[in-house]
Amino acid sequence: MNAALLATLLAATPASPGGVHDLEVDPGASSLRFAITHRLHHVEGRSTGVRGRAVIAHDGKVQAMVRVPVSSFDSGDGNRDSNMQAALEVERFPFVTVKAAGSLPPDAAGGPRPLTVPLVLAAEVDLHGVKVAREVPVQVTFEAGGAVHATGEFEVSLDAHRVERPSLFFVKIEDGCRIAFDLVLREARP
Amino acid sequence: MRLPSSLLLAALAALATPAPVHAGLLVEPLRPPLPADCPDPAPADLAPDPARVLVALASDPPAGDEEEKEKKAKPAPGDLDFDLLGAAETQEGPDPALMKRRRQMLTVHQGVGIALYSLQAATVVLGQLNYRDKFSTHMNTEKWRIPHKSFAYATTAAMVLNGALALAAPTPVKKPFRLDRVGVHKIAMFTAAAGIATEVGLGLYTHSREGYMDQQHLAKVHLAIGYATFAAMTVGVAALVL
Repeated sequence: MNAALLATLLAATPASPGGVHDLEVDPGASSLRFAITHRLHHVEGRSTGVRGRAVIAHDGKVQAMVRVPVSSFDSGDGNRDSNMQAALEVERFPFVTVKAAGSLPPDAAGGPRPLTVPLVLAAEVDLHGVKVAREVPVQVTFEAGGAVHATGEFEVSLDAHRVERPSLFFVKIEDGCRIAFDLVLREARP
Repeated sequence: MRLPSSLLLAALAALATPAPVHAGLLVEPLRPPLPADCPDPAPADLAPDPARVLVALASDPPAGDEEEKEKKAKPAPGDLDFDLLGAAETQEGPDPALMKRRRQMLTVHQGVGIALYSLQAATVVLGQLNYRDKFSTHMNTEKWRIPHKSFAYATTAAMVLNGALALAAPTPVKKPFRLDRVGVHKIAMFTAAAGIATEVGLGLYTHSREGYMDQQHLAKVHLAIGYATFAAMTVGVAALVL
């Protein structure tokens, strides 16, 4: 009788304790890409020097923060990267930082795996020392092994961040800079 | 006289025990001490209003509310006033003055480069017209000689200036050489620079061979190197544009 009661209680307990998830970005498995457009070129670059952390509270509230060194972006052209660093005044503002917050649907964090959840996070992009608030759509996949995979993209205005846009042959690059992220997060080690 | 010990104990207990505060003490009107000859005035009501006391007491949080207060001080989920990563490691960045100078010099380099490419194109066209006038039509009017020579010197001057700008531009961000767009641009422009240097010497020598049998042959080589130089320059420009 007691054993049956214990079994019932255990069955009623969720698989995940529903506590706080403290997740860290796996830099080796994650990347952040940017794309800019000039009348003559479309340029893409990426950084694998992403540092980040996300906290999922028991009620599904999410807080995330990602930081990328400007000097880690590589567009495949050393000279262009150097010019990009000059335009972003890397010596004064060495990092691009994004903070985001939002809510997961109920039971998403402790639900079955794998599970993909679309989210729209309220975010703040700190680029060139200027913080701009915006919404960031994110596709979050809770993998069976415990890892969390977050992908998405958004556009930032270089003018809004007061970046003096670089030019080639006296034609400036376009204002919109597309940023795409592909982040793999794992439970932080204590 | 000896007091019974039980009575002594009772007296000590009475002294040690604080007198209970009468609940109605504050409600009693307080009277200021007055001299004995003073007529008894109307009693001044200095007692606090019990309702106000209640309000004042209600505004003071009980000890248990401190925890609640701390919770409210933390940013609510959804608020972006948080820092999950802590202070960033400080990185020694490149010298901003050098970065600015590099940008200025390379902007001028682009302008001079456009002029250089145009001058080289014009020099090649004028060189072709000069060759045709001298060796194809045999009219030998020399009407293209001075324009070709002028443009050739202007091209050389532009090449020297632009090469100096590129080489003298500081590189505060050190990077290994890669065969990327700028790598191709550099190789092509060094080739073009060598071509221009050769053209100056060969052009002067060809002109000095006036009346000799080999002048046409030298002029032909000079023309071919001119086209090759223009082609190298086109590759250099295309590497940046395409």
